[in-house]
Amino acid sequence: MKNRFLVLTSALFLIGLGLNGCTKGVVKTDVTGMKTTEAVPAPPAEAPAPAKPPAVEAPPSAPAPALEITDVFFDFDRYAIRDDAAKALENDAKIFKGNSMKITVEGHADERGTDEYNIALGAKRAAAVKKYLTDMGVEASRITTISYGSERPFCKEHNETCWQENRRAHFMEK
Amino acid sequence: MMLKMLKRILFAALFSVSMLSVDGRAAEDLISRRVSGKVVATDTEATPNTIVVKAKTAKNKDLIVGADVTDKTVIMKRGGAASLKDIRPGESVELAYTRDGKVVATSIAAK
Repeated sequence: MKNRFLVLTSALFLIGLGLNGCTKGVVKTDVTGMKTTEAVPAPPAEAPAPAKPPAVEAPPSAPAPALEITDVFFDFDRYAIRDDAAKALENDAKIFKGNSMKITVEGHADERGTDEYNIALGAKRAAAVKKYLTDMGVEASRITTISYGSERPFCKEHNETCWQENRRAHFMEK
Repeated sequence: MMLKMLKRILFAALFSVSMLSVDGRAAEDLISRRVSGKVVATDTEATPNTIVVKAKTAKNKDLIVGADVTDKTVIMKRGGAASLKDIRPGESVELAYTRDGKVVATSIAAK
């Protein structure tokens, strides 16, 4: 009986180790956690109020800051959605959900590699962005994808700054 | 009874190893390559410096290799030591590089 307990304990420990190792390299694409409501900090406890300053009225029609559709960028030779891209896509998804525009996601790659490879990479980048947006609740039927590979660079210099600019997914309204 | 226990331990151990190997695959292996081709451009102002070479694949497709040039990159021209500024667009070079998340030139030899 004691042996059996030891066996089970060691097996569970090893499984735990394995699962832990597995999670380290997983590319983060599941956005279900991001759709949850953002944590709103609890309002600070009210201190005894000093004499109130005279009320100042806000300007009558202060416009809300305009949301802007943002391109997303990728690491070299990768199509996983980075953390900065995820933030941009959350913002983009809000905009797309607020209207009915149809969108084309263009996948781009930097100049390095072969044309065929870059077309495939651009397609994977565009598809990754589409999946992310649909996971965020944007209707898949509104999004089409296209890959331009390295054919339409945004920047034409030959250095990392420029290559990073070109490793992007760009949005166009259809 | 003993055999059953051993089987369970073996199963658990194999399961753990398989999980760890999945994780191990996520880490990209260092790839070393060597290409011959013509220099498209060099950038000695950028940090890091870069070189872009157009080569051909085994299937005769154009392959663009853009690599960072670091202090450790060995640069040779006509058999002598050189710097990146000595390498001009259009020249034929042999470029050795590593790829591990980024492409870094290990040697550049201009003919």
